[in-house]
Amino acid sequence: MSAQTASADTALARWQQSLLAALWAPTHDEALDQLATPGAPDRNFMWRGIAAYRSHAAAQAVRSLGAAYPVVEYLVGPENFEALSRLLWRERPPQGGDLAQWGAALAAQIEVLPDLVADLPFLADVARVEWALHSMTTLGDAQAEPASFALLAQEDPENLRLDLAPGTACFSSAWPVVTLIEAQRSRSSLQVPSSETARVWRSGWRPRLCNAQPGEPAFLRAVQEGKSLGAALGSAPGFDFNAWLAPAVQAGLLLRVVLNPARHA
Amino acid sequence: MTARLPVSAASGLCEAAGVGIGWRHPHYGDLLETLPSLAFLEVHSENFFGAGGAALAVLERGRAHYPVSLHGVGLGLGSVAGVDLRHLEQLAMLVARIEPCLVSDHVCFTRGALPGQATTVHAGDLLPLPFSRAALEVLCRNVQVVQDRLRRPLLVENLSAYVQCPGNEMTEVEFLHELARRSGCRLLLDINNLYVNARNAALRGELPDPQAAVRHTLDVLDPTLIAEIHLAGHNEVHDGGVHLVIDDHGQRVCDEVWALYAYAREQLGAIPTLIEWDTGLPPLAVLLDEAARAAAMANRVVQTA
Repeated sequence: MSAQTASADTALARWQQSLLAALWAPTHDEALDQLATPGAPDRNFMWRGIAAYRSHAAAQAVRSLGAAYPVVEYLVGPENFEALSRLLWRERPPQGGDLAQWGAALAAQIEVLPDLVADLPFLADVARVEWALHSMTTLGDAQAEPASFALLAQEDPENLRLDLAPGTACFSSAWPVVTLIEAQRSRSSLQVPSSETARVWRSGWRPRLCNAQPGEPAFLRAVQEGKSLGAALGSAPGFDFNAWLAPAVQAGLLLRVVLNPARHA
Repeated sequence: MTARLPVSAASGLCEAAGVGIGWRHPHYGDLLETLPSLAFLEVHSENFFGAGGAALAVLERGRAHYPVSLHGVGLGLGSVAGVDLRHLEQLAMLVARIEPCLVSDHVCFTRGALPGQATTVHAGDLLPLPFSRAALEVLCRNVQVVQDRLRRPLLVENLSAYVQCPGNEMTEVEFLHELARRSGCRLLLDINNLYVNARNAALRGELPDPQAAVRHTLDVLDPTLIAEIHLAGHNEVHDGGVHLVIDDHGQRVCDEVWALYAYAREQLGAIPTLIEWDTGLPPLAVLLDEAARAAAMANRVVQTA
């Protein structure tokens, strides 16, 4: 690379970094200082142009986050949600061009805002469950194999493994997160905390949510780690598999039962 | 699986040089129920990233009836930081699945590191580049990476820009021609973007007649490099005594841009044309009305040729 080319590359890199810095500057004036010389004739047009990019970024932040967190938006109200979206954009910027994947850090961001935590202590837990419901929408599709369920009556549980629906996960909370998300209740009705554990999964293309059964988080975790049905039941004392099975099949949570290859190798 | 209309991916050209529309979420159901006559549909690639889900299933249903063009907003082809390879892999998966007639993105940068930080951020916007030799080098390098991975020519769209970049060394047309000739990509000509830039230049006092400026651009563009035309609406905003024309894709195509489209058809010939509408979406019938207007203008050109 010639010295002249290297210098041109550096100038281009400097321009790109300056414009990015202007977009992420805390105020419009600081943004303008990144790019325009004070008193330059085009300062007014530069100010207006930067403002256009900055307001577009803010709108993108609210639109992207609103698609993933409708209940958080409802709970904090539109003005606070806009402020929260702008804050997250500034503090934890997108790192990829698919903005639907930006916003996973909202729960962590909420937890470092003491006023918000004091006011809405359940908000971070709601955000965690909403992100799980949002991010499962683009996971690979999976079909149930009802014929495989007959293996449950034919084989030792130690020889079986369960395949679960895309996005299956559990979230334990000291707050009624399932009730909150399903009902989008107002704050006034939630003064008495009650713990709930949310179970999320995708049924067909639809993200679903319900209260997990006692012992279910440990059971599902063991299943997802690839343990046999027998071993998974052993890791979840108090879990009632017989009560779980039929609703799990009907809800599209349990997709298939397979012979454990480790046992049949 | 429903049979698909055949497309030729190798040329980077859409075989049907007719008119299509941008297909957005509020119109998914209406379009699939009514299946209006359109040459192709165009969608934003990033809205269909992922291994599965409802959106991808809807796109596959649309693909069963129409050629589909994948229009990206996230590659950041002019980024000095390079193309995000994870993003490119997602795009490659989608291209393999949908078999699009066209794949496009923009002459812009989107990603880079903020001062004092090591992490690369994505701006979520199409940020302007100077028409310089250095920017051309970066674009050609990144376009090549994308074309090598997708194994097909990419279309690259001219941008509407709201700040003036320092260091221009050539005109926009010279820049686009050089990019296409060196990288083998094709050009996606957005006439509204040309007009928005000309209007803003006029507002800054840099040129007297925006329409004449765009006509001059159309006169000197090489028609053999252009594989698609975009038409969209724009908006003029006023703030602090400063006017700015914004390419918001939220209105009907204005009369001046329709006139420029008619002129472009005369200069450039039959080229697939898209009606884009992204904000404040009206009923599907309004987009179809705009598409019918573009098709009628194209037919007039063909008849008088």
